[in-house]
Amino acid sequence: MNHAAPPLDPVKLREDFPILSVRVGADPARGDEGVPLVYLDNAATTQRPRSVIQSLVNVYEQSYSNVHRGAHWLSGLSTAGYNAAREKVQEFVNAAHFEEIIFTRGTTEAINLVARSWGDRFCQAGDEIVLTELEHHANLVPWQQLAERVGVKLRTIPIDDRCQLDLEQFDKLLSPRTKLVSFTATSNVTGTITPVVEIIARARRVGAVTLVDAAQSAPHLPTDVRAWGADFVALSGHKMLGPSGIGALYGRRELLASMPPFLGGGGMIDRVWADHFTPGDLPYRFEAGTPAIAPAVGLGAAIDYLNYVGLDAIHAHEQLLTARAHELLADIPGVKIWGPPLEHKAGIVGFTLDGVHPNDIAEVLDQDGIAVRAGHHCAMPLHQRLGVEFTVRASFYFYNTLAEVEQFAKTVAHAQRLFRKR
Amino acid sequence: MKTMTVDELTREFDDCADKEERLTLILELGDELEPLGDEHKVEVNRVRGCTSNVWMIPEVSAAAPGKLRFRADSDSQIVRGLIAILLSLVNERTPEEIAALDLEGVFNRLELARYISRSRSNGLSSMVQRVRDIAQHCQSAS
Repeated sequence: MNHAAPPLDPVKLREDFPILSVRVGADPARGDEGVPLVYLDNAATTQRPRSVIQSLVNVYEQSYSNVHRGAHWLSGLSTAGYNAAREKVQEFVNAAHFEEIIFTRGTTEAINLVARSWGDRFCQAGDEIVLTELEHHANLVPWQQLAERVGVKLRTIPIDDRCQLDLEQFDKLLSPRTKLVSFTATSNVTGTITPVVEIIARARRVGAVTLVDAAQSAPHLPTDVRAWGADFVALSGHKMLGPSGIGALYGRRELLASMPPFLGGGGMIDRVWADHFTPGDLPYRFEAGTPAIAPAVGLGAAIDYLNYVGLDAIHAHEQLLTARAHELLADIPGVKIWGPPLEHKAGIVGFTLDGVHPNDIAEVLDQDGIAVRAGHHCAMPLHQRLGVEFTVRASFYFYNTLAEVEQFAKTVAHAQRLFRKR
Repeated sequence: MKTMTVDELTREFDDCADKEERLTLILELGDELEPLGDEHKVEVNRVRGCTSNVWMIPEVSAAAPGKLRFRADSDSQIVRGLIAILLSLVNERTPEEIAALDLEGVFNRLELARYISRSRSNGLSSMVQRVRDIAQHCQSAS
């Protein structure tokens, strides 16, 4: 990723995102024009380019019907569009086979699918599942639930003082009892980029299955399930320009084929009798009920747009923004950035300001039109490890500009002065 | 903390030239709020529904029996300001008077919703609900 990608032009790309021109707090009745939106909450959800929005409209206006079932022309068209989107996801994550891509509502559902289907079938009391201290609740709670159901033991790879995984400790956790290593590729709080290939290689040495939570990495860095050697990879559409309510699970074909269905219902069966059923083929076996047809097509359009901008250029631009944010925040007394050195970090800046509640900082930023998130970011154990209840998080994307980062830092400095005397 | 009438509060807010001054005013009101001791910052006193921690305890007024006096605190300075506004409206009143107060109407007049985020507005509603629940409890107990 260090080779030079041609720089992208955020100002030009922003024109493709209608929502980025809304004015925050505008109230025409009072003659209040509001202030420009500075959207720095991309780790929660990105915004959508016009092409993605239009793809949804196109589906509903021109090709919408239920998929797989109908014998009619429109259903054929809808099914083709839905499966074309699956092919785009397949290519995006470099999966070998079409049937290795399961559409889900997002990363959370994808991980729950694995925990329920693979976990219940293959895990038993005494087995161990290795997670990390960086995990989002979506890659933590499903395993805690599995532990309650079948008695697996959860082990955790700790982070060091630079918010990076301690791989020596990881080696000590690995044993023949390790059934699964499930970890995030990029932390949603600290922005830590984890050594995916290295972790998977070590996990495989003890025969463990691996799951990568790619929700925060897929929008910014290449996802390559084959180069990674991953068994499962989960991602969310809404974090990568796509609609909300759609995501995907990649599963290695042999593994998926050995797993029982997750949800039961229409679309996932081969035959059904009054007292039993036989499951259908992959990938449909894991897609019970009418799927999110238009959002899946929208996710395909999002992938097209990402390919057009280029992940290399995106990452290079985010590095630039993040470096600037670090540089400016470092000048503000009392600011502490929670995360690794820049070279190991995505475009996420989690920070606290001495003596000031993170919500109060977010509030002052909001008054300036700057959208960030304050809270535990669905990673309470990580915050417990860091020793803070909440953090403020600014998260960047390719449509953010250096000027926006500078405005953000200026407002944080202002908040620091405002709250300091109290 | 001084008790303010609705008119006094409204005038103070109206005198602010912009959002910045309103925020400063909210913070100044919060500065005057008497902090709660750590012994009161416990789960039973925590107001649920606020994104920052808010603890609230009711007392019977020392000055006038039959009237209520609330004390509350938060780890957020902005929320402390909102608490100060709320308490200046409800303190030293009987449960019946509190029940009759149009607090939302006052907040609307102060245009608070324009100056604080929605999650803060929701938190304020949770505090108002807590005050009303306590007032109602006192009414039905008496």
